[in-house]
Amino acid sequence: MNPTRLQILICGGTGCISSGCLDVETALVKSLENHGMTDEVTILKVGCFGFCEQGPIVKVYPDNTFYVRVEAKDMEEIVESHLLKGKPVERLLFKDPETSVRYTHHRDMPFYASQARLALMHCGVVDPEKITDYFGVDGYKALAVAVTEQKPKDVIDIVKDSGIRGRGGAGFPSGIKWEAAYNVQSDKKYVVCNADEGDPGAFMDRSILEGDPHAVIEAMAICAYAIGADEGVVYVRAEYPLAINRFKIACAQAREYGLLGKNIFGTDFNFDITIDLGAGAFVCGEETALLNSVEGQRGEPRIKPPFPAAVGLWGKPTIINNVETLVNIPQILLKGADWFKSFGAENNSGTKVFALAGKINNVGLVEVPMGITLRDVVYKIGGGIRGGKKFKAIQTGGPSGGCISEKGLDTQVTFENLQKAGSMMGSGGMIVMDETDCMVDIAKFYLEFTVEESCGKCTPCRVGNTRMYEILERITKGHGTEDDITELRNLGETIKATSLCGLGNSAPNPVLSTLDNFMDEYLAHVHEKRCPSGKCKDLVKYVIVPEKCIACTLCKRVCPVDCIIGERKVIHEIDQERCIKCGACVDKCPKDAIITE
Amino acid sequence: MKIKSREDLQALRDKYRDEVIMRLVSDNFETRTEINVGIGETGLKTGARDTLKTFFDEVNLAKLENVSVIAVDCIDRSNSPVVEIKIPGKEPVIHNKVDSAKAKALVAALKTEVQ
Amino acid sequence: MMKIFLNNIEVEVKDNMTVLEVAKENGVNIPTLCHLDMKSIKMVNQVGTCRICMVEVEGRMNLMPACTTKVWDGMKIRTNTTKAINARRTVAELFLSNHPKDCLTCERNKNCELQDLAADLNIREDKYKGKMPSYTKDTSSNSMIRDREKCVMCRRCETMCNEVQTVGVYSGVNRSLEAVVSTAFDYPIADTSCTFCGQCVSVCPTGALTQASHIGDVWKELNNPEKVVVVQVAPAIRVALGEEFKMPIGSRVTGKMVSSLRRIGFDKVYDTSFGADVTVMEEANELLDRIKNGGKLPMLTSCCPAWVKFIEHQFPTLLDVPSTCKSPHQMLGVLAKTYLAEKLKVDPAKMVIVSIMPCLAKKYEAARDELSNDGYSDVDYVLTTRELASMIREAGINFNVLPDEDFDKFMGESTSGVIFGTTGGVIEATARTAAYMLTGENPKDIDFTQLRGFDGIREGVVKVGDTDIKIGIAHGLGHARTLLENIRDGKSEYHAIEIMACPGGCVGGGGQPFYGNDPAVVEARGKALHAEGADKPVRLAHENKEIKALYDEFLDKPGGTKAHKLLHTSFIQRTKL
Repeated sequence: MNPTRLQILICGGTGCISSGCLDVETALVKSLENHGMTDEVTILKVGCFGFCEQGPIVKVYPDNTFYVRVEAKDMEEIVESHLLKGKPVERLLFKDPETSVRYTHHRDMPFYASQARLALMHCGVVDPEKITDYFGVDGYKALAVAVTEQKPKDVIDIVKDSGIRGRGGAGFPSGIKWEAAYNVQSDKKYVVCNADEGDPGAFMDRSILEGDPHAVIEAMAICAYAIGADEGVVYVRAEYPLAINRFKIACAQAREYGLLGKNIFGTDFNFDITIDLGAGAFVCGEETALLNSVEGQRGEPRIKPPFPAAVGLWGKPTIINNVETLVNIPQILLKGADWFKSFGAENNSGTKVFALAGKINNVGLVEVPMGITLRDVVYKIGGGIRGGKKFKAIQTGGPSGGCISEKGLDTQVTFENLQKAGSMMGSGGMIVMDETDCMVDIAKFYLEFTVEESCGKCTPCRVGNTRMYEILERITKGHGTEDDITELRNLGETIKATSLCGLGNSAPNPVLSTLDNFMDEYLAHVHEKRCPSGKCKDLVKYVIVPEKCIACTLCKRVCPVDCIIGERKVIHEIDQERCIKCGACVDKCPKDAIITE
Repeated sequence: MKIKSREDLQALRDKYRDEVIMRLVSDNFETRTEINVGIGETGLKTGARDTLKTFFDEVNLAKLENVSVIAVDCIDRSNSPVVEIKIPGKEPVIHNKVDSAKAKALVAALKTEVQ
Repeated sequence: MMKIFLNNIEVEVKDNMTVLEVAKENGVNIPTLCHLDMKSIKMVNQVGTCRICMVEVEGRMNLMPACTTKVWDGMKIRTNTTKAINARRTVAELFLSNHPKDCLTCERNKNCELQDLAADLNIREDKYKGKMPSYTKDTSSNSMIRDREKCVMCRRCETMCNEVQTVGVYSGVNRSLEAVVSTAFDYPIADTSCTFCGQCVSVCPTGALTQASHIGDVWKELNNPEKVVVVQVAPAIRVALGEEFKMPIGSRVTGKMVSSLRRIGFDKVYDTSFGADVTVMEEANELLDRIKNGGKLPMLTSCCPAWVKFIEHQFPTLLDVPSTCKSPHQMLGVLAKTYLAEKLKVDPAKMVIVSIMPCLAKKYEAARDELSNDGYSDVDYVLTTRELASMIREAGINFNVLPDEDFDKFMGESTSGVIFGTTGGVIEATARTAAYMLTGENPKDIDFTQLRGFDGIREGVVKVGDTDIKIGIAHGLGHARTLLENIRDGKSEYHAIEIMACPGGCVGGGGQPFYGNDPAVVEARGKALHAEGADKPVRLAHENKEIKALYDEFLDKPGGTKAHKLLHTSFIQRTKL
């Protein structure tokens, strides 16, 4: 193989595709043609680099230059100045908003400096649609060693030793789970990969499937070998067409090379994978509801015990693992349990991938060693709060998690610590909030999601969550009472203690954690009928400051309900009874004379 | 082709290693050897691109894995093509007026140093 | 065996028990709602959905449901901690917040498990007022009504219909607050493969599934001076009606039942068992005809309309297997409007036939078009046992002190037909007469106990001379399916099979008094029915004087032309939904 002098990697994840990276690719091809450099360059569409805020991202190798916010029209300059003449295009390098320093390589960027990309090792490196790239990075070697040299029990022991815990949210030690399935005598066993990723805004699993599908295949095969299964199912949400397509391609390629199918590596180990699509139900991310869905039944959770490791898909022993959990497995086998344990904290070895979003400067996909503080995530990696605003809260675990206040910023990210802080690890969503976010409204927002997604099987979740939501609605509309706050806590704790599955158990978390950490906001809503962050429309008053008003009637003219009283030379006033809080007047006023109270 | 053994897999790995090695080596900021070939406007006129190509081909031929051949902006107009060779742990060395022949020789010398 | 601690008291328990079972055994009542355990008829609803039976277990952060949690060695359970009681109460209040408050006008007023729960937990406030899902009532069927707004997602109907009856009409649908149990695509129940067996109504804890009532229609007819209202009562009623008036389980109240019907105002009171005797004559004849002349075997009894609808939907290619006989009350109905009308000199147009049945499917059956003659419906109205009890109460009749009275003449005498109401009874009665028809002699011992019992599928052989008549019996549609699949696959070796849709036979019908979670009640009713049968002076249908008169004067012979026209029917191929 003759590699070319240059390799240009363009992020081909869903995020960057929406930002136009395909046009960037087309432009690059054209420019290279124009300069006669087509033979010098290999263009690769790879998985997510992680710095999504700055996408589309283009990397130039071997220089390892990291270009951000690249548009199609920039390609000509990149080709002419950098690829041809060796001079990087400075304006397209990342510039730190605080220090104004420009970075050529990603390594020095604060965003990347504190990260440890283990699960995402190949994302942004290999072309996910080329199994040959995966071969080149020692792909399928772990599987080869496992099936030709190791016994299933050996594999399980290594996984146990590594201490890896489920990355889907529950944090159960994966090795122990595998061992439980291994110990059950059965004619048939299954491996299921949970790629339902229902948390809104989470895209860790999507990125892994889009960027490194072969690692998932290899991991599933290793698991199958370890527990004695011969069939795997990947349950992926239908809303991920790119991930589904890339995974299908990867499976087809693996089959071509005999890495899926019969007699893998010439042994008597057989394994193949089918893909099952979700149908838009968050609850089907719960492992037993997922199994019911695969079986064609209503996507409702089952009673546990028995656990899937003993009685799972079609009643057979089944291991269900999250995508991120699985993708760590080949590396653990290749590099050893001790290597994995060298990252992370006690009882929390390894790393965790988070989808970092919200009111921070650096939004994207990050992977950090367990034990890193939330403060480091927000300020070092996240680059601090956008627009210079003040940090208010950080929410982990998606709609099942809780909101941690500034007091908890020094919490070290581990399964136990996050739970103690009133939240949970969850599958990896991390949303940062600032002073303009209303915590009551945030609780209501998450509850609205879980209310709609409740499968309806058990009473506390089916009815209780709706009742909690109705109380929050009352509070945000200014009709709340102190009894309502007491009731919220009572309902929340009851629902937590009595629900049948994880969805119900954790649905009250956003409410309970905000009651714990932001009671002052609840009290303001209830006692003063005031929303401190100005978010709850019904509690916000738009008021014209008489001293600033110049009586120009501009606001009057844009008011859709004609509720502004006044004329030229007469100071204007808003009729609060009729105001619908649309804010059009605020935008129009040339003197910033309209404020919210 | 169906992979029937570990050896089959290793053969494929060796075959396709070349395609990915550049990306893997490029992250070894501290340990990789850099051959920075100055191009710029001047370089285009002084044949720096030929120098660049020769370095690339020779390093490939010699199978020097942890070595990156990078085109950089013009280093010194008067002596173009100028090449900076940075071996980790050593002071970077500048070479002037490097043509293809000199490039070949430098790679040969490098071969003994880094292996 | 293992030792656990229940409310700080050490108890020894068998392996594999749930907390609920252990508590019950040791005198601790943990309230439940969705749980229903009737193992003997394979109806076990152990779904853990209501979350009422929550208990505290040491070492567990969350509460645990007693009904589905198996005990482990050394487990420390506390059922009445503040946390557990508060949780139960809150969950019950959540139930109430999502349930219509029209108890006063609800069919299940005073007999509703949700009412019981609210009362037992002393709930005095509708605490969590909020929105409730809105569904229209399904009144498409004249047998039952579905009121989805009252569904508490206990899933009992689903379990019963899917696992016991294997009809599969119900499933949970929709999400969140709107989640209820309903039919596929919310089809009206009359458009599905529902057999109207009514077992779902029997197990529904609230008014979500109820019988459709025709009491009002019957009162109207009773109050119409121009009408001659004739009532007939099924066998299964007389061993269950007493339960509605607090009499012991298995009380035989035939005499009081008849006198209550007269006091309600029925002009004539007849016994459906007479119709059953006619059925015995016709069906025994048909069986022998098939056996002797190479007709389709096995022959299946067809007096159960729910099971007839089952075979029409599920096995439409086997419609030549059931007997063509109408069911007993249909036979009595059509004979009333012909034979009896002649005798009483009453215009059949003015005659109204009301059947008191233990069954909801009979309401559906009476309305089937083909069950009529010369434009007159064989049966005009069907009331269930529960409806009769309501009428008795409404009419101010003190049931418990009534004198015993007898049925009216011409169609009041019955013999073996009275045991039709219990599983195995139909085929036993038929076999007695078939034996006579085959050999010309009565069998020495007419108690074919080999056909009795409560197992879901049974078999027995009746020796008739040199012939062994092989008989199969199934009750509960799930068991029926097994036998039908064998027939379909050509593996059935029986001559005759009796099928009853309801577990226990008609005594366990969907219209009978609710028996809670105790199938032993059904068994007791069945035994009482056999006792009725044993007490009859004449116990063979072919020796029934009124039957003899009927054939001599009117029908000529079993299977004859007139009998065929009036007493036999045909079946319809239906699709499955």
